[in-house]
Amino acid sequence: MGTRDGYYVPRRDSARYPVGQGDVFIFDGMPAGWTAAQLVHPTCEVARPGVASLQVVGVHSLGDLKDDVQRALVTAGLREQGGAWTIAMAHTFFLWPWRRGADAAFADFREITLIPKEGVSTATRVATLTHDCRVTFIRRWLYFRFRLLLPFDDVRALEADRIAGDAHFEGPRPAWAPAPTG
Amino acid sequence: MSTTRFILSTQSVGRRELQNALPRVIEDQIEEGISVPVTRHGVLDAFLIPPGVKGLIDEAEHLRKSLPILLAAARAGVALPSDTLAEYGVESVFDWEKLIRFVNAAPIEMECGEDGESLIHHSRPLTHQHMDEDDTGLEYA
Repeated sequence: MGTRDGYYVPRRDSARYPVGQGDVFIFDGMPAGWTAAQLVHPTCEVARPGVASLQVVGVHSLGDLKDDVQRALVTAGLREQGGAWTIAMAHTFFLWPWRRGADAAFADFREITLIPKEGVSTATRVATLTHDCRVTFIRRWLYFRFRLLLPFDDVRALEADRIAGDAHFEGPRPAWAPAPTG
Repeated sequence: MSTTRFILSTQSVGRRELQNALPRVIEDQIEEGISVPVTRHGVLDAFLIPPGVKGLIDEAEHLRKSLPILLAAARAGVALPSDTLAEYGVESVFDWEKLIRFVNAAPIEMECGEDGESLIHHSRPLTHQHMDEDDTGLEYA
């Protein structure tokens, strides 16, 4: 996760990945002030005919923040206090620059809105999360929404179980969730 | 971080002597926040410490786990958010790339949530139970 490739599927490969939770989009009619939008809606809902709107959160450049103290907290997502490591800025998720020369960014989970489904597609997608990055995103999202701070390995094991049971899973599978045999 | 300081008396007291001198040692030294070495046959045997120092020791013990990571950040000039580094005036110029690489590589084990709540541990491993979903949409009047 310490590189762009850790965060995102390389652009040349991204077409093989259907739109998924955590992916980043830029589309016409984005709320004012947003650099991009991150999909927080469950992946399996995206393709459902009855779903017309999807939930996204605002993405901003790190440079938009007031000072380096805030930038460091958002980037690290944690802080040391009295010898203990604690979550910092739980409502944010750091995003590596999705193209060379761009600024690092972050999603603000407090800025959530519904957009027409058409805004979210492979054509408007600017960054496709890797499966590992999606696990990190889910862990962060779980903590923000429900205050459940689960160990990373537990979240990944849950995601592997979920993928194994998902008959409609599309795209390349993560190495830690191979296709069920038999 | 605690404001209590560890002050050690330059004079030790023997164990046998302490039995009679305890009230005086407590009044003169302990109540003044001074820790006292206790010896037995001239060899250091124990420390008599003021109550406040116990908190200091607990804090130092807790800090011991994170100290190697904090020192590594300071040495590498990484602006790792840390109350302890700030307390000691260790400042580094913010560089998001250095910071995110460091955080991802360091063996940091999260202990608490944003409000200090503990990490959730399970007595049983979590399993995901797949359920078929009802796809019916809601219809509003």
